[in-house]
Amino acid sequence: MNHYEVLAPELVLLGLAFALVTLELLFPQLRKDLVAYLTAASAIGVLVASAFFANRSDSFKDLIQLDNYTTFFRILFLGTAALLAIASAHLVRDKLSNAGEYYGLLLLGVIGATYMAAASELLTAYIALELLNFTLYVLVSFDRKDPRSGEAGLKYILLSAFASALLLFGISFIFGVTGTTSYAGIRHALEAGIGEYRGTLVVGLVLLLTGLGFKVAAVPFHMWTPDAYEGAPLPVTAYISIVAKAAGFALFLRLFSQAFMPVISDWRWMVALLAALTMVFGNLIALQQVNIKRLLAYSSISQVGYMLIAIAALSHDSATALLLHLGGYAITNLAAFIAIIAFYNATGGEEIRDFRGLAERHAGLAMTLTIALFSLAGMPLFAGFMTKFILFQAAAQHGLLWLSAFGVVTSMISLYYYLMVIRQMYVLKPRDGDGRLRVPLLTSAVLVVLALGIFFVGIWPTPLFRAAASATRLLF
Amino acid sequence: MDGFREGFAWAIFSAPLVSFALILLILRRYPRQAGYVANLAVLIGFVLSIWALSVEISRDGAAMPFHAHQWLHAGPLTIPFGVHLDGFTAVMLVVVTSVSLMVHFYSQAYMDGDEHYVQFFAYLSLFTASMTGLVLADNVLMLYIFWELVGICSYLLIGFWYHRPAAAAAAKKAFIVTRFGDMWFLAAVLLIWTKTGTFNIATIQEAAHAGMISTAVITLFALGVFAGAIGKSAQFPLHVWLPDAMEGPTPVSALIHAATMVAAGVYLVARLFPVFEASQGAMDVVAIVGAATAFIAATIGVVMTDIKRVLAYSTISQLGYMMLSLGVGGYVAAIFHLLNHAFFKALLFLGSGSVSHTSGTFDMRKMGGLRRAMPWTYATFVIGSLSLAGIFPFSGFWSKDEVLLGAWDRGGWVGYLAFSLGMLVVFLTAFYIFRAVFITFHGEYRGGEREAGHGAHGSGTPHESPWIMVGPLVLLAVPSVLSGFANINGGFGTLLNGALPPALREAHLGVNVGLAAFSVVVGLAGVGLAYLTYDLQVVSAEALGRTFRPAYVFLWNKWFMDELYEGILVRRVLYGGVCAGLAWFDRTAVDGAVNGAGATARFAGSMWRRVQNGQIQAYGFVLVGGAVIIAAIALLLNPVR
Amino acid sequence: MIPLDQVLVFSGILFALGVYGVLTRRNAIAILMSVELMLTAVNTNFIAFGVFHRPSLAVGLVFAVFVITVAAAEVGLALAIILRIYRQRTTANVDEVDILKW
Repeated sequence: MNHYEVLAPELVLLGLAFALVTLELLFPQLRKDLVAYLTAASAIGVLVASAFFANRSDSFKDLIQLDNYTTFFRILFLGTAALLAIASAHLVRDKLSNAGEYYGLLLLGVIGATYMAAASELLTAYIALELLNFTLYVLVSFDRKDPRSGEAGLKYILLSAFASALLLFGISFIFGVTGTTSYAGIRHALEAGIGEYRGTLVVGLVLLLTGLGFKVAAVPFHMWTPDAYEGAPLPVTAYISIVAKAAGFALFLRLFSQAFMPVISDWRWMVALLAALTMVFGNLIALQQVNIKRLLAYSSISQVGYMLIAIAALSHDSATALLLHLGGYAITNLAAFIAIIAFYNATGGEEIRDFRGLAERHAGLAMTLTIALFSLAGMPLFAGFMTKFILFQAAAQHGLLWLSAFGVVTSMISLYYYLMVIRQMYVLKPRDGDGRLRVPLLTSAVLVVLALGIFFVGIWPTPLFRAAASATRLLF
Repeated sequence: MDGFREGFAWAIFSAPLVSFALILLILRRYPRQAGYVANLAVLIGFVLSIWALSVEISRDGAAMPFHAHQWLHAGPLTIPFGVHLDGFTAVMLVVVTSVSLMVHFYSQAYMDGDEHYVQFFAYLSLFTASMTGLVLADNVLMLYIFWELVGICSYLLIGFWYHRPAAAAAAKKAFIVTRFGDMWFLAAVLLIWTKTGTFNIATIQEAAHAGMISTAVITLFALGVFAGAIGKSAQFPLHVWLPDAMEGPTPVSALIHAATMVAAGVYLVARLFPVFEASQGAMDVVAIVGAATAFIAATIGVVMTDIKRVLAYSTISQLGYMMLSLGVGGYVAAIFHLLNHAFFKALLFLGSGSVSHTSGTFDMRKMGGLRRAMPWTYATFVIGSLSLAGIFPFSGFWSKDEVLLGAWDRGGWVGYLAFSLGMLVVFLTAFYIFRAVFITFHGEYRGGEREAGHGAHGSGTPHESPWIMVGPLVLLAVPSVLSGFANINGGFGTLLNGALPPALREAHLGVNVGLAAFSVVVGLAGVGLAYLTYDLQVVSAEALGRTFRPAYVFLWNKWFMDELYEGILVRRVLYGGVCAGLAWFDRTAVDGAVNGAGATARFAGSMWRRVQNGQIQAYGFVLVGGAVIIAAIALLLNPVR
Repeated sequence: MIPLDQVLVFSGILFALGVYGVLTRRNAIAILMSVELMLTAVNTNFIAFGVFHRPSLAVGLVFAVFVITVAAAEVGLALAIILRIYRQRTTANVDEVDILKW
């Protein structure tokens, strides 16, 4: 029995992506922001349809696994893509060409990301990873007029290809040791014992961690991140920081919980080390940044540190906490990025000092950005505190109290650089000639919803927690 | 019945919260009404707090049998929420809501005409809600959340006039320095949950008291909590933010930075007192930090010229006093002092606001002679000062006396050290506060300042403030005189002891007459010294000669005491030596260490930023290097057999 | 038949050469070629392990085929981007491409 319907959402998405590209080819005069809204509508349509897969458990030839875990991430990715398409509308219309391809790629990336979460076999996971990567290479270098965009694309593709080669080399060793590439098969082989090949396995694991660490931007494999974030068009930066990162963790979590649990003592300390390094360096280097995209790049790196804690403390609790944190992180980062995109559309500025006096130029925008930054800094009542607290708590529960304490202390540093931005917005007067800003109505509505979402997750996280808990139940 | 009572307890917290929401959502364009709504909400909270106190008095302070509700159930983690009401929390609620009410009332005049008048009341409401929430919380996690919320409110209110660079910088400094303490508090919360599986304060207290938690864990937990308290209550060495926080509006200083939020640290330690009791080491740390803070801040208070800064250092010093008391086991005395301090310090701050309202400045050197123009402000300010100086029968006398008695009874080197520093502080306190009184209110008016301050307050001739500002002063003066009598027969102690496990309850200490007399004499000596130094030298020579002829001739001419006091002792030794030294130490070493930590972090960041040199191959090199190092560690630690 | 460890040593050397090339060659196209070298080592590994384990299942061979396919697509994309960089800056040397830093 081949469960082809398991593939349905992605096949539909693929059709929609090609339809969007064709649409632009056939009707070149079509308003470009209309394509954005069509993209958002199709993403939301597939999102609603895929909600019917909730609580179903099926698999396509043991390659693609459909369960609540997949559905959770599918909804996360589609929602993010829909909101980012709306946020891209004005920017793409005014500054980029080939809108159809842009939005098509946005949807193709979601397919790759979803299959990264759904894959239950290493080759499928690798292909899904590369599918997402390919769309990102193109999206990062999409701005033909900005030399930074091309440079970011070059750096990203060369380093990413290099990291992929390391990842593949690692996979080849794991295949060599276990004789299989399916997660369940690897687990059985490891449970049966691998004897003299432990050294080979450890080398394979290190290489695998390097490749995945590159994907999610863990220190010291993070160095592409700030450059790619800065060079890419703003919505693409948001897309990398949310979709690509969450997809990386989706793959990471399923692979390590389903395949590598029996050898947890071999890799736990590696992940813990990466987490500690990532938290420290991500936060410290962020102190020095003057560009808002780079600041958010380092901020997202430090968030990776917190998420890695959950992998190091791998268990049902910490996996649930990780999904919850990813959900809160997505909402928070969407709010921050969409506010910044709206600001960029109105002013063209992306340095932190360009934000001076924003509170007087557009109070709502400044307020939303402040809420998002406070959430990232982990202030209570905002999503960031609740999700991070549950995450730290889960890690402490599973013997990593020291790493949790590390997280608490380093997140203290983060407050400082977020306050730098808030200071610019509220304390300083606008420069002469800087008038009030105009923000499109739809963007304002999206921002209000996201800001409320931050408080919702921060005060009443139970619904999201339940969803995350049911998503991770089958992993263990 | 209990359901009703719990509802009332919740209402204390939710009334100002509702007011905050109403102001933000509906009343943004109606400043006058926003002020009324905020006032009404606090009034409701105040009335309900009085009700809570009366109920608790009838129950001898025993905790109400409220149950915790479940907020979030996350795997093994259950995050509860619930209110806890016992004698101690009832007292705190009354303190918070009454001072808040006075400040709300007063602010209607003080902030009149400010362009962000509505926001101000929104923030005040949010603060009052958070602070009552902090007091009512029945578990440490909720307490932590409100703890951070009051921090945010403090940040918003210090930086209220955010266009003044000093205010913005002070707000940021306050936020970051207190967060530095808070993170250890959060780590302690994580620790205690991991070890006991509960956040509930009563359960933690019982477990600690019953010896079910190892001493090491208790000590770590207590020190983490205390680190949070050090930040919030501005204890040495994290006290640096509080004097700068005086950049906020004066009613805010009175409410947040004198009476309530800064006392939250003391509240926290007192609330977890049974846990601290289980660790002698933690208790000693609390006592020593408290005593050191009390002494250092008092000496610095002596050299300040800005009246709000004198009061700020005084607050730090008095908070240190409370910590000292907790550290030597004086639970009742500490809270008693907290109560009295809240009233008289709020009174003093509002008094200083009233003074600046007319003179347009906080610089005492530009004031002088205001007692004739502002008789009400003067009289109430003196009452507050007498209470602060601990002169019989004002409220400060009673609690200060119990603190000293507790330290004396504690004995041991910690107890005697705390006692002697405490006694020195009594002298210094009386001296600096009356120095402020004499410079501000006596002598001739020195003109004030028109431009300073935040608006059109300064005017040519000094005048009394409007009744809406004087009213709260008078109302606060009443408890500053009377609240000391609350424990004269141990009634207050009984109320507070209800919150403790029976074995920990302390007996009423009573009054040690000898000690009390001695401390009053020490206090009066301080007042006298201030009088001789700051009043006599400015009073006209004729009046001086008439009134103080014999003493003057004897003291000043024959013994050359003026040179000794003002010239040598005060100016050279005290000013130039000890105090200036300590002030310098405070500014450079302590402040420097705090700034230095920031600078070090920035420097480390900039070093590593250089590695990010834009070269793809450098990135690749770091990537491969990282992988190789991890592989090397893996293979070295687990050699392949 | 060649023993497995000899094949592994061979692929290890190939991989190391590839890594060396990526880290030292300045020309972006040379870097791509070095990455290809690394992928060749990966494929050698997969084929060798596949034959060693269960020749009948051909998992290793399938993996290798997919790696080759994906790598070809990757090179195509990379060349397009390098071409664009070359048009804008008339250089394909990666050490001269460093507007983005710090």
